[in-house]
Amino acid sequence: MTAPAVPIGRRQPAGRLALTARKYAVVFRLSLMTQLAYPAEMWLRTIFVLIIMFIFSSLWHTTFKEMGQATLGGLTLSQMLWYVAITESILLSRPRDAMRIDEEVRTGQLAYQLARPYNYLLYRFAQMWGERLPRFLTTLAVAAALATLFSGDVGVSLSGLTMGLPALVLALAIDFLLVTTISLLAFWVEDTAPFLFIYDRFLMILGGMLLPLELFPDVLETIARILPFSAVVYVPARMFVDPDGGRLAGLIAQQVITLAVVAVVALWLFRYAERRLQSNGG
Amino acid sequence: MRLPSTARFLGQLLWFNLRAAMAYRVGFITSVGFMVINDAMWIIFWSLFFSRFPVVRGWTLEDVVTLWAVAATGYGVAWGFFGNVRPEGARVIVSGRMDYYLSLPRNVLLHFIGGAISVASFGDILFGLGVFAAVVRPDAAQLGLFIVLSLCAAVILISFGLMVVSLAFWAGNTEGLGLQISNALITFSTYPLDLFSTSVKVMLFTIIPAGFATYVPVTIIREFDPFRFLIVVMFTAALAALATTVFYTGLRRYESGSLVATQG
Repeated sequence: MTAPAVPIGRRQPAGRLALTARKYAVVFRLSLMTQLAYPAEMWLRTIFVLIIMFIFSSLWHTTFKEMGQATLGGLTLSQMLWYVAITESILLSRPRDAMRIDEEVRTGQLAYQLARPYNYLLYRFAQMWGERLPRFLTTLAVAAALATLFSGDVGVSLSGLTMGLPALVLALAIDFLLVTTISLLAFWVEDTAPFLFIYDRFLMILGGMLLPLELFPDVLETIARILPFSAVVYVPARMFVDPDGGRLAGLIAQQVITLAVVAVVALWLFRYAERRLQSNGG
Repeated sequence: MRLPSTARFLGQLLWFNLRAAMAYRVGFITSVGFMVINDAMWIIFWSLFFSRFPVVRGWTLEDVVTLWAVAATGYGVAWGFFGNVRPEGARVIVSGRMDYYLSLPRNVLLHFIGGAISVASFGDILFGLGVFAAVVRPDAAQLGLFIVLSLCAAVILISFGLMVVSLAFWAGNTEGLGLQISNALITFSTYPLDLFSTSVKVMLFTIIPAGFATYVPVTIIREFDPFRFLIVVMFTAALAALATTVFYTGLRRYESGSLVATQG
């Protein structure tokens, strides 16, 4: 008995999708393996996390004590330290050569990359996850252990994990697209590093890396909530330490809208830049 | 006889470094501008923090701004003019590029530490002086005290950096380790020490001298105390002497790279 023939037109898209997914999964795996090949380097970087966590633990311990309040900005001391642990892990986990698109544009390597059988942005996206995941997890492991040690409590619950994880995935995707957008400016400006620098500083202040947005003056808090920086740092960290089902939908919606807007900008910029691409030499 | 000649050499070295930094105007302005923005962001953070919690362990926003001003000016002078005391300086030793400094009839130590510049660090100097003048609004005496103490901080940071870089004479490429140690000093220099426990404070007055570099100077600027001032000056001199000894002891272990190169 032979199997009934399936019309090719109906089978191919699913097959192609699986093949495409497998292709980027391989990119992810290779990138992950490269990161894991140098564990010492990864752990050495966490020394800085130790210093930062120690300083912020001292700062918040003192502030809570002097204010005589159980919560500040709606967070207990333990939640505050875990909040810092998560925001620091997000920022510090970005690979140093996150701006390699910038380099490829300036050196002309991008022309070769575009000729390869993959979508360039998806390739970089898969690569980013492979690089960032182990960096994020090692940084968070150290930062969270220190937050627990310094506060004597675990600031994240099971529901926090459930709500924080999707927010984190969206946050890292938004960060990737924003960094990509900045890198693509290399088509027009000589050096894009200063733009990334400014972006990082905005994440630090307006993103709520050092101070949860609830502790901002009212006007600044409103502005910070509208801007995309809080979607990268504040939203996932807040969801992890202070899971609130009622607020979850609103914050995730904010992230999804930010992601969509940034994705459109990045794609438009990429397509536009692609048309401007000139390849010289062989 | 030798002291005036060494002082003249140091003066010329600093002047040459400043001119080298400004050779590429646009690059210079951009680097300096971004460093000013970077430092200013920290002041914004502290402004936000103190707008919510006005006093922390007796520290106000003005005190933290003074702390940042001393740290930024100190680092600006140290790393801006004496770029080889940054962790990257270890590369010069490891790759055998000390030959260049050894072959010339000038003070090897001064020539080595002043053999590189960090353009962005000039932004620290601009920020430090600017923010101190704008926020603290000092009188002439306070400004003079600020400049002297910032220069003491610079010498402490140069000496500490030199000792860290000198580790390369014994341990090979210590750039990564040096980076971590430098990060620790930078970070601790910019937070009020009163936040920390006594044992940590002891560490910050000995192993990582952030206490003498920025904390004590801030207390002196806040309220002048000749005894503390003398302590800072004496500590600065002692650390400089120790760093010089460590460097020359390490230099005896230096192995030439037989490298033929010109110094840019």
